[in-house]
Amino acid sequence: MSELLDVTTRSIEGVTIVDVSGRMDAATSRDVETTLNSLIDGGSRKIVFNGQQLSYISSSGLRVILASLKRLRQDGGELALASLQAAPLEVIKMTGFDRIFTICETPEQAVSRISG
Amino acid sequence: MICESGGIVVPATIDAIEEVALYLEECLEQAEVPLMEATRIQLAVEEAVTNVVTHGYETEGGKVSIRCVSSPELVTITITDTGPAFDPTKIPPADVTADLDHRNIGGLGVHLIKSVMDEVLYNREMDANQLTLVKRLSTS
Repeated sequence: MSELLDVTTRSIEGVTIVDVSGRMDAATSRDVETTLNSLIDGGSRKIVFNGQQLSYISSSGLRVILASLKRLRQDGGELALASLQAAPLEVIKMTGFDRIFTICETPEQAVSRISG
Repeated sequence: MICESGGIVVPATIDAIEEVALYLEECLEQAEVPLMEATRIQLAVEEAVTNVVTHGYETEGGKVSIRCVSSPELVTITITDTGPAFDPTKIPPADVTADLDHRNIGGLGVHLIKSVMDEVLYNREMDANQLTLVKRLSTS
């Protein structure tokens, strides 16, 4: 795992929270991709991406979350984004990803949204 | 405060992205560019360098040079490589209104570069691709 990125996972009410800390750039996004793919391969269908500690995301990071969203939705699952900082949120909006993803203020709200 | 560094030369690999980010961070900080603007500029440069890595050299061993000249009002970044002629400004823009089923990632990098920077200029000179990114900053 890169020093510039840290990824941990936990569960709340059957929803997997992926806590991403640091930068998701062309080099580090691969680690998040690995984690998300492992979760989906392992049967996770409801995932919340917690960006509270995510300071930066580039198109490489967007590719990873888009691919995961497509995989999950094909199987009736969902990936929501939560607690995005200003810079990543701006990138999400610049690219129109806010029309595709469910975005919540907190992971708890996201859990509630995708569980319901 | 002005930052007018000589620039850096890195291998045209994804792993070199971090070195580029550090170089830019130092230069933009020295020029007292606000953090949010610096982050936007970092994004544009990463996208440009990633394009060189992905679409540039056909063999390993290629290099990319990045030079940042920055004041609190103006940031100019020049990205140069000696790969085959490749003009990233000609990549078709991504459709940012497409729904999930019709979404691709291709073209998002260029879209982000053009969204962030005020000028994006490509030049092919002496067998080198040169991309110049310009950002004007408000100091009010």
